[in-house]
Amino acid sequence: MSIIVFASSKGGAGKTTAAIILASEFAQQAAPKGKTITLIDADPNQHSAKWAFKSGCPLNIKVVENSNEDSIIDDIDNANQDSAFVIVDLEGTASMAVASAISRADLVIILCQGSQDDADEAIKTIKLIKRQEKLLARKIVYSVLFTRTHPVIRPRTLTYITDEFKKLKIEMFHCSLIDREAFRAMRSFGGTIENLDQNEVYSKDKAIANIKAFTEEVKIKLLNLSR
Amino acid sequence: MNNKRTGFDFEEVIDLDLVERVSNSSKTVSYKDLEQVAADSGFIKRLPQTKKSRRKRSPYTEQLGIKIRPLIKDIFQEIGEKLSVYDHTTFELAILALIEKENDQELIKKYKNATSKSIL
Repeated sequence: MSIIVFASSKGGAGKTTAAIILASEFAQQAAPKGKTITLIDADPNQHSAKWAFKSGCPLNIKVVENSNEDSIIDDIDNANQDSAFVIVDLEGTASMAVASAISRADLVIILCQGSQDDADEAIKTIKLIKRQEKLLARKIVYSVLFTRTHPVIRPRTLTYITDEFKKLKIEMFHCSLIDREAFRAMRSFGGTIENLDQNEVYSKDKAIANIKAFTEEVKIKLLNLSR
Repeated sequence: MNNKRTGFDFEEVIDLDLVERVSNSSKTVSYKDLEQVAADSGFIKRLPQTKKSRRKRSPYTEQLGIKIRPLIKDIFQEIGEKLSVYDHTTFELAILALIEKENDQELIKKYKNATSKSIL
């Protein structure tokens, strides 16, 4: 019913991590209500599908593997029939798959690290969104999420980029995804962050707090959409 | 050290039901238009659109180096030019003419078998 697309035309921006974090959180909250979340993996590397097939993945996450630029619109439309939320993890490249997924999106989350290259690619994706808005005659809500940020230090480049984005009136998440071992562990062990062994993962509680902050902010954005 | 940079109220959890919504209805556009807008923004098709064509291999793979009388080479090339064929074809046609003249059925059969293999 709600289609959330994780986009960045640059690889390594944190799309898969953010996508599986959101999918696992939404799945846990939707499970008592008997609702499902569909996670569409349109990255040829299939990392989010690999995570989903590891043990511990919430059972109400339905995975669509090997989606590509020819099938992605149908995959999204089919998933939208029976899932409360459709989460799309895309390949880090400027491809038609990205454009097609954005054309169906209710919310586009653009991943960006605090680097000039990432910021340039984020702008490229926003330009595509703006052009699609004209073509589709509807507003496509997007927001930039900074990833792999330092828990304490805020580099000057990141400050510069956020200041520039503010000047350009580019929508940004208040929270960021902090570079935490717990997120890597989640990918490595599978399952949800809550189920990770406290002894295996450093600062699990802080990672959970970060996930909650991100998830709640996504919900606020979706809430604003439905109003 | 301030670790509240995200500044979010974690306690206030929004009910998922509130944010689950019916999708936006948008203008129906053709895939071609979408493709054009994407291309204008630098987002292009990445999947190969045509099947890779296989490189054609010549069946003429054996080399034959022979010594001939002076001017015979010229005659050989001249007849090839008249027939508008390459040297290897001239040679094959000459062989065929010879074995047909000799009416050697076994060799004719062998020749046809050798030349029937079209370009791989």
